[in-house]
Amino acid sequence: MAPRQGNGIDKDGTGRPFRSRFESLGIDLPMTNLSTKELMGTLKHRVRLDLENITGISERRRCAPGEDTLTLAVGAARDCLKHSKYSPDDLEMIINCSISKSIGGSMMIEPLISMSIKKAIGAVKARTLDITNACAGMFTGVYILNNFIKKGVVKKGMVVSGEHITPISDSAVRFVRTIASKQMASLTVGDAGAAVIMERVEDGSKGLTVAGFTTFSKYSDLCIGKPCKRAPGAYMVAEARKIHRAAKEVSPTILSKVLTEMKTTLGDYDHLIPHQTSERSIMSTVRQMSKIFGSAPKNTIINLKNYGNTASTTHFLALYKNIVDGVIKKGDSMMMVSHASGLVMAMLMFAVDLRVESYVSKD
Amino acid sequence: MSAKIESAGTEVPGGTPLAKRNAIALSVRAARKSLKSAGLEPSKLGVLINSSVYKDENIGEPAVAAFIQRDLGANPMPMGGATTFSFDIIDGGCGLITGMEIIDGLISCGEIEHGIVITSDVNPSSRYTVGFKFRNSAAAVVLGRSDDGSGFVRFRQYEYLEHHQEFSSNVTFRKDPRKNFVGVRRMRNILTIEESKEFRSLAMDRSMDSISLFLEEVGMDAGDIDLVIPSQYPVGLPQEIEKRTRIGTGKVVVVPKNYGVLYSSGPGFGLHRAIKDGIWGRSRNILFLGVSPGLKVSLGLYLNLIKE
Repeated sequence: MAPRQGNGIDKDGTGRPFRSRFESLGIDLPMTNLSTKELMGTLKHRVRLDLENITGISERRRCAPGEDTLTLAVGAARDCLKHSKYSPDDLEMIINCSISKSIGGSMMIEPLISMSIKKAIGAVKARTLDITNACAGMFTGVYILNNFIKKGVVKKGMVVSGEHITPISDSAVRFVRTIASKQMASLTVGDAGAAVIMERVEDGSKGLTVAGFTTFSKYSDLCIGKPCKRAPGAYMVAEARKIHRAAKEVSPTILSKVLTEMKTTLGDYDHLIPHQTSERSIMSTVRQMSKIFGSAPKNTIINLKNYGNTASTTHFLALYKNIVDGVIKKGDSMMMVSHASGLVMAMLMFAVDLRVESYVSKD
Repeated sequence: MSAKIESAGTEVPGGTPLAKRNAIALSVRAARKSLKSAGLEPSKLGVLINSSVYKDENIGEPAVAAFIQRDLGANPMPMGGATTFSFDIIDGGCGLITGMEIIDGLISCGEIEHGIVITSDVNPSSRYTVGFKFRNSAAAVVLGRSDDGSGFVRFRQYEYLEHHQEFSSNVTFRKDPRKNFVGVRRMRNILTIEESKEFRSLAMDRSMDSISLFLEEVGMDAGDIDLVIPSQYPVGLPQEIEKRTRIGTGKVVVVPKNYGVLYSSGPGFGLHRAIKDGIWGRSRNILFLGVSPGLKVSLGLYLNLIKE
C-alpha cells in the first residue's frame, strides 16, 4: 500500500513555500544586579583596566539561588505567551537554544531542556528539540523553525533560551591577571532568558528573511566554553581581539551577498541589532561596514549598559527592551546580525509587526 | 521534491590511543567515508548537523559541528561562492532522524542541495564518568536532492512526558567516586547517567504504541513496511519490534553485538549495515525509529523507489 503523504507537501497554493514572522516576544531577567565595579573588585589579581569604559557595560543581571537556565527559559516563555494570541497548547514546536544548561546546580544533558519547558508551560502538543550553536543559538532556532513553517510541517512554534552564563565570570575572577587574559571576555556576560513565537504568515506581509547563515570554521577554536575540571561551573577562553578581527574580515562577504540578493542597502534599515559584546568593537565594525557599503543603518542598538552580553538571548533581549522603551516602533525595518563562536555569521531581517502596544506599558 | 539518502558511513575507535576518545576525529572519519561513498566533495555540503549527545570534555561552545566542518574541509573560510552552515542538535537516540528531517526541509524548500548529519557519542572522561555504558562511535548520513521520487514521505514525533525522569544525565560538581593515588576523593565535575529499572520496558512499549499510531496516520499496515532501521538502544529494541509487530521476520536491522552498546549513532550503524548488506536496495517502504529519554519516539518513513 502506498503511504498517505503528510508534512512536506503543503504549500500556499502558489507553489512557493510558506513564510514566517515573529508573533510575540518574551524575556525574563534575574532580579539581582552586579555592577562592573563590584565585579572587578572581586578579581583575585589586580588588573588595571576600566572595563566599563571599554565595553559600555555598567552592570549585568545575575541569577540568585533558585534561578537557573530553566527558570529563565520558562519565565521568558510565559512572558512571550502573555503577549501572544496563542495559548500554550497551540504551540506545535519548542526549540531550546541555551548554551548554559545549568539546572539545580548541575549541567543537564538529558532529558532535553525543551521537554522541561514544555512541561512547565503546559504546551502539551508541542514537539521539542534542543540545539546549540553558541551565541547564534536563537538565530539557529529561528532558522530551523522558519524552515519547518516554510515547509508546512508546523504553523507556529517557539524558540526559547535561558542563559545562566555568569558562572564563567566566577571562574574568570580567579584567573584573569592581565588585560590580555583569555578569560577577560567572561567578565562581560550577564544572565537572561528570551523567547519568540513564530507563526505562518497568513496575510500579505513579507515576513521574516533568514539569510547569510554561514560558519567560518577556520576560526572555530577562537572561543571555547566547557565545564571546569576542578571547580563548579564552567569557564570560557576567548581570543577576543582575534574574534573581532575575524568578524570584521568575514562580514563584508556575507553582507554584500545578502544586500545584493535582497536589493537593499544598509541605509534602508531603521535599526541594526548586532551581537552585544562591547560598545567599542560594535561601533568599529559598524563604521567599517558603512564605509565599505556607502551607507549605514539609521540606528545601531547597543543594549549593553544594564545587561552585558547575555549570549544567545542578546538580540531578542535588545529587541524587546527597545520596543518597551519606544525606540523601536511598529513598521520599523530591522536587521539583526549575529557573530558567534564557531565563527558563525547569521542575519535576520524583518519589519516589526508585533503588537507593540502590549509591550510598552511593561516594566 | 524531498531529500534522498545518498550514503552512510560509520566509525569506531581504532589506531591511535587519542582517536579512541575523540568524538571529532571519529565524526570526521565517518563523514569522510560517507562522502566518499556518495562521491561528493565536502565543499558541496550546504548544512552540517552534529547530533551527538556525549561530547569531548562536555564542551558547551562552539558547536562541535564547527570543528567537524573545519577538519572535514567543508568551506572553512568561504570568501564568496559556496558556504556551509554548521550547528549541533541534541535529541538523544532521535537525533539522527531529526537531523535528517531538518535537512529534508532545507532541500525541499530549495535552500541547499546537500547536507550531512553526523552523530557520535564518546565517554568525555573515563575517570570522571558514572554510568556511561555506550561504545565510542560515530555515524554520518549524506542527503541530497531526490531526482527519482525516492525520499522521505513523513516524519512524526511522539512524546510521553509521564516518563520524563526515567533516564537522566548531567554533569555535577561532587566527590570523585574513585580515590586518587593518595587515597583522597576530591571534588570534580562528574558526568552521571542514571536510568530507572523501568526505562527499558517503557521505551519498548512506547515504541510499539508509536509505530501503531504512525502507521494509522499514514494509512499503512505493518505488513507494508519492508525494512525498519531502529535505535539500537535500549538494548534489544530491534528484536522486540520484530517480535511485537507484524512487520515480519528479518525486516528489522540489528547491529551485531560486537559493536557494543550504540546510543545516538545506532540508527546510522543500522542504515550503513542495511546498505552494505543490500537489504536497503531491495526495500521500498523503510521506517526509521529513534528513541530518546524524556520519553520520545521519532519516526521517519522513507520511500525507496527500486530500480527494476
